[in-house]
Amino acid sequence: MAVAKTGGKVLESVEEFKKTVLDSNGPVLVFFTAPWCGPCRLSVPVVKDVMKEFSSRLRVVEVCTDDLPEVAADANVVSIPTIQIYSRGEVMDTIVGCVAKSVLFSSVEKVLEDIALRVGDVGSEKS
Amino acid sequence: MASIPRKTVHISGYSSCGFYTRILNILKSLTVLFPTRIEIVDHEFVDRSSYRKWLLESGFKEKFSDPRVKDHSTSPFCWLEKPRAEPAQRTNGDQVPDIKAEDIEAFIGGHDDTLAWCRSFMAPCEEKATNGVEMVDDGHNPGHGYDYDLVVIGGGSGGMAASKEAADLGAKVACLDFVKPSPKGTTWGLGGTCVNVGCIPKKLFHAGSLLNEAFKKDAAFYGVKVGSKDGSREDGLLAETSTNVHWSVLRENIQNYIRGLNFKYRVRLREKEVDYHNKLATFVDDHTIEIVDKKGRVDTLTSSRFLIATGGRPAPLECEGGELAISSDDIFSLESSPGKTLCVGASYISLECAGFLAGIGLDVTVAVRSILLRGFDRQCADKIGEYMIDHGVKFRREVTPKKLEKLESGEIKVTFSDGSDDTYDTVLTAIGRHADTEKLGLDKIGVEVNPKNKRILGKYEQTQCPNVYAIGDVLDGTPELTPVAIQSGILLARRLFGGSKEPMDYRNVCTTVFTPVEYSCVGYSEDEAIEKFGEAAVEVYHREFQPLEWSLSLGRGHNFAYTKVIVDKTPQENVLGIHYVGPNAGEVMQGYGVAMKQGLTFKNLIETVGIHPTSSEEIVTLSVTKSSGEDAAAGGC
Repeated sequence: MAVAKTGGKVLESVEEFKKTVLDSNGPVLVFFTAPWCGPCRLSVPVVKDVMKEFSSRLRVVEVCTDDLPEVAADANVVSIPTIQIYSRGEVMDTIVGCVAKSVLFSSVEKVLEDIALRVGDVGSEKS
Repeated sequence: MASIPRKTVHISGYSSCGFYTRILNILKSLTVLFPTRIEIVDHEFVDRSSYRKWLLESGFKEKFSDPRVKDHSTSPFCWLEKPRAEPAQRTNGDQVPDIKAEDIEAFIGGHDDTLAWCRSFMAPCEEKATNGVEMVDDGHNPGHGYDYDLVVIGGGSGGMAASKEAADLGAKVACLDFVKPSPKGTTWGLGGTCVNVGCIPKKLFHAGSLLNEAFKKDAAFYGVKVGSKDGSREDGLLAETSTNVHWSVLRENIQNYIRGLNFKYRVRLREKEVDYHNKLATFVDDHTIEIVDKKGRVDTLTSSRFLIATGGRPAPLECEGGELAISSDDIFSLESSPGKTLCVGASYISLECAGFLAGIGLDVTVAVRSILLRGFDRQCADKIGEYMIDHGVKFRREVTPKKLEKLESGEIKVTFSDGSDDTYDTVLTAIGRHADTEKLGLDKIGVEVNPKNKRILGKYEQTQCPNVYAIGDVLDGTPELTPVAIQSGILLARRLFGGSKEPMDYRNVCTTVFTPVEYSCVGYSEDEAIEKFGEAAVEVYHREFQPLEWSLSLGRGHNFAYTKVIVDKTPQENVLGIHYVGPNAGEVMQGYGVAMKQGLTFKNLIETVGIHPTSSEEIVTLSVTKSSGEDAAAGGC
């Protein structure tokens, strides 16, 4: 069970990605990264802060594109760093490149809002 | 060029036949226009009945094997005679042609067929024959039923370019790339030699060493103070700049950049819908390959066509202890600095590596068996050597390593062929490259290689097995350069899937050697030009000069750049080759390559107004010839 510098879990197989991200009911933030990528390193503290701030409402995991190229390819990741927020197997938002904390925070908040509204429409369901 | 034998056309008919006279006139016009290419022999009969009597009753027609002759009873009747060594004897006004069957080359026909023959005779096919491509039909058809239209073996410069172009043209393409680890265990990602262990890291290390050199040799003279030991000197000049190059940082940043390229290329192949597999391929038969991944799992793929683009690998050092040496496969990713290094070989790989290692402050020796940069212009190669010696690189000439031993300290003791020895931290061997074709299974499909270097033999990039093609370093007889592989790959893809007939033009390809003083050239070297055309037919314009940017640096006072243009002695002085030894050589030469493709004359060059102040302008302001004996050193402005 590898833990990334962000504090999130590093996914190590295609099956794990399916189980932890695609099949999860709750929202999951996936941070696509690689060790040789400069901007990815700059994004680490930003993702770390998101984890802390939204820890009860959002799960944060990491995928290394060198180790899981098929997962990255299937997720249509064409450059890194890329952050995708999943809910019920769908991508709710994609943020490409190294972004400021405020930008990522507002993206996460918007997604969580959308999810809450959606749940409100469908009926009661635990996030 | 082979001379085209003259065509001898016989025409027979009768005078009042309009068809006969019309064809006769056309043929006569052709002999006026092309007297060396066609002659006619006219058999004119006075009237229809005498013509028909000869044609149908004399047994003349039996001399022909062509079945169409049987039904031909009209006028005119034309045929081709076989080419003879001496001009044939002609009896004028011969009404009963005495033609022997063995002299007949082919029946042409009557009016319509002969007209068609005249049209094809007039078509400019001779020139096209040397430029257009006649590849062997490989039987490819869209409904072939194989897994792929094209499987490319090798994901380097050539392989990737061909894959993407073929996919763009609608082909179903797979690209297989697999790196067999070097003897030292080094391996790398998608992109081939250039990206991982060739051009890219080489140029970045070279750039790093030039940067270091600029700080050491130039900074102080430009008033740029960079952490010098003790402020200004008394005479107003800045103290010499001291530098310290951290191998780990340089290596790490370069390797990270390369990983970024590996990633980018994977994405690109996917975007172009090329199926990429990180697997090793071997031929089973001409439409089937076996593929193995790094875990040893085996699979098969079938394809209508294959393209081999597996490139080359460094040749190993064969002497005792040779396995202690590393190669260019390893140097760019070494975990720690190579330290005191011996570079074995005088190829551009050896000299470029020696150059940047010395440039970043290491103790470097080059062991040269005979001459530097075999195949390149001798004079320019020697200038590179002189500059490198001045730059601090040591040379051991006319020796080869005989024995390598690992010492307790971890250093390597090298004993040379002249009995001398020395110890080094690293021995880098760069004595040549050969193609890695042994295990491809080429014997199963009848593809031949050059036994000397294992490179595949092919024509228009097609091998002896018609549906198997080869490009890049693996193909024998072509320049081993990335842009050559890329362009030949793209053109081949267009010929295979785009209906193109355009061949790759391997002539006048510019190249650059990134030694401490860079060297670029296009066309013939002086030695090649003299050998091919003779010394009397060749002239050389040249100049030695100092690039302006070096003028302030006292340490560079005796360093010079050099350029020469080789021309033939025709009135227009066609340019045969251009050579430049100096800074930014690659940037300087590219534009001249375009000019060479158009057919450059010396007049074109010197009529071009130079850009001032640059080093490139020296090429367009040349005036002194070697034969004049005048001093080639440049004067002032």
